[in-house]
Amino acid sequence: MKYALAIYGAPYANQASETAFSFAQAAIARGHTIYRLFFYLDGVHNASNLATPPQDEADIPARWQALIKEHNIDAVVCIAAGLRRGVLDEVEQQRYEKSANNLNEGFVLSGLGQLIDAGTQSDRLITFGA
Amino acid sequence: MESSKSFLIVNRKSPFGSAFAKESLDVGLIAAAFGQKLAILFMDDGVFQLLKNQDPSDINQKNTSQTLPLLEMYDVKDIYVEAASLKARNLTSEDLLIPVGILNADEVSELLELQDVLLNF
Repeated sequence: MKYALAIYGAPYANQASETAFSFAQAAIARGHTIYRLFFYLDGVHNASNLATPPQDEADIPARWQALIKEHNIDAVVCIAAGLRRGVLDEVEQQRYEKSANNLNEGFVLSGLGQLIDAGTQSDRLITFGA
Repeated sequence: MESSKSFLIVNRKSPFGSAFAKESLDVGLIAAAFGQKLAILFMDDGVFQLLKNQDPSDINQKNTSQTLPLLEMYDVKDIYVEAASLKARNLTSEDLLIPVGILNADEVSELLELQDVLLNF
């Protein structure tokens, strides 16, 4: 089955991101496909490469990045939600003349149309963190 | 877009206190702009999103309820409210900013059953 996941929870704030991650891992292990990960609302913080958790806690953003890379998953961060929360790539950094960018490699900033597309193109769209 | 499906957005949270109401409305407008068949259901504290005369200026928030009438311009006419959620909050359709269909629990189940894609907020 082709799954799409919409993730609304920031890492370390609630369980949404971790549950979504476990779901994605389990789905892949069972031979399903992840059509797209769509990070929205506070979920955009999962794509930051500046998160620095203590060593005895899971590095959630790094785990997402590794999963995305290993399985070549399409990982989209809502650009409007990301910009207002300070998740920027190099292009947006320059556009808004900010001092840094922090979008992890493997993620892309794009619009809400990608969430609608995920709904139409996948067999199931599951939201985490509503 | 290659294919079209029916979408239902389910709003269950109050209009302020979190970004859910605002960012849900953004999804609704985009879904409509992309020409998807869209319905929206308000239940639990989500019914407060529809109240008339909202003024969140004291808490430095935009009044997103002003955007609700845009849904009709985008041809989104299937907007529903769960009856028990309204009643539990001592509200009637008179208190709401836009015309809505009022559904009982069985009708809510039917509505959910009919959709291809559910988006929860």
